[in-house]
Amino acid sequence: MLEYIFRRLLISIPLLFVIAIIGFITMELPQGDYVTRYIAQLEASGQSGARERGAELRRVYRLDDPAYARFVTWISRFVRGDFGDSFYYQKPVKTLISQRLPLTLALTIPCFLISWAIGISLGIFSATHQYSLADNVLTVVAFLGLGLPAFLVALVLIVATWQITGDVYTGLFSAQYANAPWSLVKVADLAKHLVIPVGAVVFSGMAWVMRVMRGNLLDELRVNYVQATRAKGVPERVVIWKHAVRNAFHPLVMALGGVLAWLLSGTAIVEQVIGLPTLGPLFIQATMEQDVYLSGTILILLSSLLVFGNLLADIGLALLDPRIRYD
Amino acid sequence: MTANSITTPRALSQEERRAMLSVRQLMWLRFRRNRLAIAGCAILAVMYLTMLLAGFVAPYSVTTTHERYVSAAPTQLHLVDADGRLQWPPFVYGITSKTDPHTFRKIYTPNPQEVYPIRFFGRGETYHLLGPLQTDIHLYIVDDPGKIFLMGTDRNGRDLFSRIIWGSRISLTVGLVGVLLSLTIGAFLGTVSGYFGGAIDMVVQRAIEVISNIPQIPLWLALAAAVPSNWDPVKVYFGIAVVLSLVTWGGLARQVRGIVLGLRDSDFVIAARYTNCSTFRILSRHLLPNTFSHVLVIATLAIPGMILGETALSFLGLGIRPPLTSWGVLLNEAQQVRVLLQQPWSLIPALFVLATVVSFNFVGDGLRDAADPFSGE
Amino acid sequence: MSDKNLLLEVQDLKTHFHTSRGVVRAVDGVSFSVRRSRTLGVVGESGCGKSITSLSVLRLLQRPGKIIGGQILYHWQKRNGNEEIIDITALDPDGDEMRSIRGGQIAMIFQEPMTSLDPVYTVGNQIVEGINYHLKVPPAEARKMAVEMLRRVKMPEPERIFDSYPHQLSGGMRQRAMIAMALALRPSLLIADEPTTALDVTTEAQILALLRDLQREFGMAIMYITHNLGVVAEMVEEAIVMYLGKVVERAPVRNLFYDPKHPYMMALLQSIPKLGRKSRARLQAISGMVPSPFAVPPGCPFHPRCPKFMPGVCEVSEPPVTDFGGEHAVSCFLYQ
Repeated sequence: MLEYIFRRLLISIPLLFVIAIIGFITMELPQGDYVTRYIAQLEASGQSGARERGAELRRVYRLDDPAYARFVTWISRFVRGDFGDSFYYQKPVKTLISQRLPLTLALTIPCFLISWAIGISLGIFSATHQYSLADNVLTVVAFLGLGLPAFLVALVLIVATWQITGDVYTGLFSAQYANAPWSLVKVADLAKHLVIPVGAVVFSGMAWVMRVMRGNLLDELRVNYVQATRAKGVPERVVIWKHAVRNAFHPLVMALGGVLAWLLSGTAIVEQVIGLPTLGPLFIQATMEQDVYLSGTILILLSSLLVFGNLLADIGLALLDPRIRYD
Repeated sequence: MTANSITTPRALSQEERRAMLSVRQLMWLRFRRNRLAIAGCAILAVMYLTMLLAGFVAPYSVTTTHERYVSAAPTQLHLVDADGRLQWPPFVYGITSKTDPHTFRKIYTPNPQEVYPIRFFGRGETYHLLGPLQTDIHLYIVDDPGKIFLMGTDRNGRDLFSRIIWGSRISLTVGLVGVLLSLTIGAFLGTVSGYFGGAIDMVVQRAIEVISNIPQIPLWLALAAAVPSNWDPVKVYFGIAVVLSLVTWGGLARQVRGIVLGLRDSDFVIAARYTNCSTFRILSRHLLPNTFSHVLVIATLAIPGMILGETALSFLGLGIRPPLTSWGVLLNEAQQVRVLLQQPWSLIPALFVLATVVSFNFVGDGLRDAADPFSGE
Repeated sequence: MSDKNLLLEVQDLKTHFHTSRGVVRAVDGVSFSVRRSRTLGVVGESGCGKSITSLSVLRLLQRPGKIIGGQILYHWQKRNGNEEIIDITALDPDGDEMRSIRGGQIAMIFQEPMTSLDPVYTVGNQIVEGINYHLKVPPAEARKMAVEMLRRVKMPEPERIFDSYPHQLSGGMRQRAMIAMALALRPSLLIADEPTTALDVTTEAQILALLRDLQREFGMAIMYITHNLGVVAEMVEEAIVMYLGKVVERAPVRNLFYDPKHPYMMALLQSIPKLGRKSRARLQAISGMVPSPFAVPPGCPFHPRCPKFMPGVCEVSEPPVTDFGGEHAVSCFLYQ
């Protein structure tokens, strides 16, 4: 087992290297670069000296160097912890990311926990009460959750709350609390603003978990050992939870591998739509502006989390299922 | 009649006939019983038919602007006239617009003096029905200067319903093209990888591993940003389809590989090898047809993801771009909350996305249950 | 037929399934008895209702199956020596009383040993689980009981098997584990639902021999459900033959094989290929096919395929039961 973990960790290094290359190429694909966009923007707003400023940026960031040279420079700095600077913000990438990380996690961790808790419970309930009215209602809800992307749900919620309360719940705080000192009222305001993003994300997230759990549990309940366990006089409750649910969990554990990466990027578009100062909008903007060090670093960061998360998931699977042994 | 006598041939009973059906026929019978799947099929059929007859169903073209009716709310249909009598066909009132002196926004009020009955199969703008064939007959239209905006207008005064209908041409097909591309790469590599094993398998596996270890949405964003905005619209369309498929072929390949691995050592394949079947023949005549039903299920269930992906990308401005229209592009207008609050009807395309995705899910689930012999009962 | 040795009496049991395509009368008026320490075989083709009968006895039916008529009387010999007769059909399937009967008084082993054990728990864990829901014993004691049972079913290295997972055992060993699990509480009745159908012949012979030994050793009754006439001949003292949810013949095993009365049983025996026949002779099969459970023929269910079919009689009403004495009874119009 330890050997397996060690081997996987070893392989992840070249894997991440290849991903870095692919990431870099992807960032390079759009025509032009940040500077050309910058120049165009300055000129459009009528400012002078755009070209000179552009040339200056080019020189400082050595943007005229050939691609592989820039890649090598970037990677060699990356592994030493220097992730480069953002052109747009003129600040180190590391600072930008760490600034936004806490808030991002404060949003996504509760979303994840709530949607999985609800999804698993409702999935088990649905499977054990198949074809009942509740099951049918939950199925409809699940299909709605799967068919409506979270960002659209968020928009609908914004409109709905505006129609009902007259307030627009975008951003983190209402205007009057944005720069105010922390107080109970401010926390309440924050909570009110978080309801929409959390609600939207949870609605979509729990739909998927519920469907998968329901499907898996239904499949497990058909396997012979369930009936054999009942035949021993074991209560139904135990048959379902100790035996069937535990076996049904398998595919969900595999899905958990992506959770770490999701915690940082899965809610990006919702965050963008609501206007939260989190990593999602940062990445979207960086991609569109070709702020390559920023977007590239985030991409590598997310991929590393995915690689690591998958490893943890595989270990978890081996712990859960004695049939899997990695020797 | 003793047990020894040869029974004369007689008509087959229903059970016997059923026992002799081919696998495909059994699948169809099982599928037919799934009401949700049939409903999904029906909805999709209507959508695709509407898409083909877009010009007919939509009262206006994609680009027709009605400058005097910018950001207008959906037009109300009336069945009862001013005297309380039931009228058929339904009619709409004319719209008078005023500018609010404080907000400078337009306010629209229906004008009961102007009555415009809906003309079914009436004449409107000309459009191309099929190739060079032109006509001006629309499913429903009102006479000028009346307007019928079933789902309101956007900031440029374009009828949203018409744009939704025309936009379905992109939204409903980009997913199909993407899945087709994804399948082509994925099914091919998956089959080859699963059947030949060894070095080929290792290489393909590694490639899939690399792709699947980059989070999907960020990769879509990054690749979509790479599609140049100055390309002509058709190229952009295919560019986006390629982007969508590049991220998902890995998952498809992995699943196909799993199926092929399961089939590779079955008796009929070994038998084929013993009879000196060429590898190509084994793959095409024996393996592929057996993977067909599974691949069909996988493909159908992958389409919703593609549609949602295109919608998300276009919503952000990274996918399909004007002058091409898709539902995601239409939703882009709703991105600015200020605009959204003024025009809440601009979220209506979401309902179409929902209906399409849910229908494909129903059909995919139905196919999967039909292909799986151990389901139900 | 009331005598002190009755253990289980099934009287006119009817178990129906209300499906979207119609009603399936899986068990339609089945009556039989099992006596203490005796063996009964339940014979029939797939779909005749033999498995559903045993699931009904243990109240293990899943939706949409329901017992809609009849009685299942279990003669429970309590610890104080008194015998209590309990109607199983009147109990709550998930209630305490039924669950103490299930596994404690009546146990069941199933057809597919490969999938009848939970793959994520050890064999020992699963045997002890059964014990714990019936007896309050400390874990060490339970473990001893389980290991002892594993030894009795002739498992090599029972201690090691106790801590092994099902996927580490072969099919035959898994079936032995199942038997150990079922017998750990010394039930009065063991229902064996085709326990050897999924095993190869050598393992089958071993398991059958094991069951015979254990039956003698523990003095328990066994109900063998099988479609294999060879197993019936070898293992049981008397048997009932089922067709489409009804019992068509009941007899001690010798009578059944040497003097079958029902045309179905006769045809079954004739269809067994015999050694020494000329290789050119045709195999004799019963003509026709088992009808769909949604379209059970009227009258005697076997009449469309019966070589002794009597028009105007057999398809009109259900045949009465004729008793030949010596516990041999048949349900057929031939003996009116």
